[in-house]
Amino acid sequence: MTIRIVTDSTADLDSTEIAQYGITVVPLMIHFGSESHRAGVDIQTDEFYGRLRDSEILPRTSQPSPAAFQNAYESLRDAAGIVSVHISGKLSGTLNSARAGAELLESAPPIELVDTNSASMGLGFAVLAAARAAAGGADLAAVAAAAREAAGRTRLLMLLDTLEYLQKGGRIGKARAFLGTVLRTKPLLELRDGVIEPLERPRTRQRATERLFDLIVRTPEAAEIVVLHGSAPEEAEALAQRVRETLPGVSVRIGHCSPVLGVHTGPGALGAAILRSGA
Amino acid sequence: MSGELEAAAHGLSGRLLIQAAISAAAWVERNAAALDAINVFPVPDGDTGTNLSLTLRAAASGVAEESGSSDAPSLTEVAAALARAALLGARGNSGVILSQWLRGLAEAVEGADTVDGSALGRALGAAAVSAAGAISNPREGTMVTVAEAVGEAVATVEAGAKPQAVIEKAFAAARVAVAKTPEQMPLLADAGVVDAGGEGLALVLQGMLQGITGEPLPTAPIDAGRIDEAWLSRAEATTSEGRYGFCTEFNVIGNGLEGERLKKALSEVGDSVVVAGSAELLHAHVHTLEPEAAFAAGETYGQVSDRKADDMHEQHTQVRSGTGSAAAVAVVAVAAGDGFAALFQELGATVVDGGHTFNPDAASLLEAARTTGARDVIVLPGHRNVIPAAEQAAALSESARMHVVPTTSMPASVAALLAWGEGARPEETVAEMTNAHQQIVTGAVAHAARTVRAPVPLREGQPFALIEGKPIAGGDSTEHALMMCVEELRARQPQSSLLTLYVGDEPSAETAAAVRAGAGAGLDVEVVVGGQPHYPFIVSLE
Repeated sequence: MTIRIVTDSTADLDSTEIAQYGITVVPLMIHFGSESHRAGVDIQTDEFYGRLRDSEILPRTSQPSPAAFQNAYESLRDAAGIVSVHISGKLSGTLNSARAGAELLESAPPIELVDTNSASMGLGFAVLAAARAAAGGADLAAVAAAAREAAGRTRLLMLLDTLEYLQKGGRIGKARAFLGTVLRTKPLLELRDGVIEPLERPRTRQRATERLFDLIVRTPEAAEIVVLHGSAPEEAEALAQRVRETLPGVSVRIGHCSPVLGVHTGPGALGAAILRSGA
Repeated sequence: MSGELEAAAHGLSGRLLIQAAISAAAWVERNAAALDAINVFPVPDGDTGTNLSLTLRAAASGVAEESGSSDAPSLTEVAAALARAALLGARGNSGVILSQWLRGLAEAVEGADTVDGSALGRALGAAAVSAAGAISNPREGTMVTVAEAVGEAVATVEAGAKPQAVIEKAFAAARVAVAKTPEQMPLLADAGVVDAGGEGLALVLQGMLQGITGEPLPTAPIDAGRIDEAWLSRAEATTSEGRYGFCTEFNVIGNGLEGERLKKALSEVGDSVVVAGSAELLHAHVHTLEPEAAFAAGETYGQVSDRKADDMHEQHTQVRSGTGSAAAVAVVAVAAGDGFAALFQELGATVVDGGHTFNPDAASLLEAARTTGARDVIVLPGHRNVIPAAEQAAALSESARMHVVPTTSMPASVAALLAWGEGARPEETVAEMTNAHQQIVTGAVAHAARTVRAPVPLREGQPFALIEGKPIAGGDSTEHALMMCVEELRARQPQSSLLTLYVGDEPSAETAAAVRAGAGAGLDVEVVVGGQPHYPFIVSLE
């Protein structure tokens, strides 16, 4: 009897990691008009970005239903406990659904919910830390603590082509300060304490990518880096290569921005999730 | 039907609850767009109405399916089926809260075949408790607050009261609670709206009431009485504060496009009209209350793409409610031309009009600095001639500490403003701005006021190119001078990626196209209407 890990589809984990640790991923929903898809289940990343570019309708996203969590937790009823690790409660209602789903259970193992204050691989790092702790035999409290501790060591940077999607999706937050000029800019943003903070607004993609590179390689004590992209694979590969050359001892790989995040970042997002080394 | 109405006089049956649910779902669906339009909390993503409607529809169709086989399903069965279907179909935060509300209601009536008004009142109280449990940190002025007010209002109803009377009382209490939400949450007051989720719950109760009494629902939400009227006028008030509306932009693709005609058409629907581009591609900008009308105007000329409509009221509210740092550091920038003035303003600066001669006095800079109310004020002169006045103002200032970042062109001021980071200390901001404006080179095209021999020979009226304020050569035409200017800028700063062309009073689409063509590969070109006097073109390279 071990502790099992549940997360949501915004974690941007790859399928090997999910399989290796037996992680349960509850999908968020994407709606193109009245058409609904479970992210990563009924709609895959490549297909999604194609539609995002072509569709006249701006897709919307919604958190999983409480019942989806109820089912996920019920399927793990033989576990010693469940640690459910999720996207920032300030960006999504997913945690509320998880809480409601947990309350619906009649008899279940103890469940601990973790708000990582992050998203994408920032959340993913926390999930992996929890999964490793669980695999090592840690108890419920220790697994949840591992997730929270790793979440505190992550940094999530994002370069967008436009703020349009973030604004229309209602998640613009403080980056609103970067809106509303006749000049086109390429906003650089960071997720801090679960909310989006504007960093800089270079005027060209080239310069913005340069600044993103600087911010990545100057992050102190970087241990693991995932270069993230929403349908910009060549740029991501080039950026990852430069980061590898600059930071030889650091693990650098490439990851996708999953569809739900893509709805809010728009196509062409480039970013990085950085895990700093532990104390 | 009369039988059911009689039943309603005595108790709420399963059959009546089905009717109530179907009616509530229909009523919320009819008002979904109106709810979407006032959705500002927790995130203003305009989907509260849609989410509530989808959740209710799932609940209503679920219950109709489950109870369809039974002629007289018990209240217990129906309420449980409703709650289950709502939980399965819950969408968004508001949907989750509603599903928990229904679950609380279902648990409270468990075991009963019908309930009287008194028991129904207690069930609505239990529903509120359950709804509050749905979210981690309930805040005042939300759907949960409204549910709680409803629960309190009907907590003590005399035994034997009619369910209809209780729902009426609940609906009335919801209305009062909804009206209070802007007092409880400043965000709502700012946005000039009531809470969308709370309003949605009031609609649910109204729909239920009409389902129980058997009265038909109004067909149009707008005519549905004071509730909807009030929303709409409030929602409208948000966007019609005259000065704001939407900052609307789009591109038009076509053949033989005439920028002037589009400009004229757009002037009909708004102000701050800017149109630039070529006969094949125009970029348009307008501040309007009706972005759709602006897009439609574009469509009469060609294919419209890259539509964007930003709510300036929201932006304004944000700026006004601002951060401590906005008040701690302010920027005063000198501008000549409407386009530059608007651009500086959009980037957060207080603008001083440089006038036709670009020579504001120290007193007007001091006055502008004083009106910002900030302790630290950064001045961007935007011209060599203004630097002395700016330094004089800085020396004279008593109310604010004034810092001069000596920009010698308006594009340099733009670069400085773009480097203005939120929350930075004044000294850091000065350093960032200084660094930023030094990374660009600026040129311009002007007409010679008289014939001169030095530094370059020019005839009176001849167009000539300047780099960083110094004449470099005369041209055969303004376009020729512009191309010389661009070439010289490229030679001085070969490692550049962006060329910005600020056009003066009379923008020419052909010129913009020529610059795009002549700029060469690897260089982005952006055309902005600066509206500056004297200089048909100002160009910056960075």
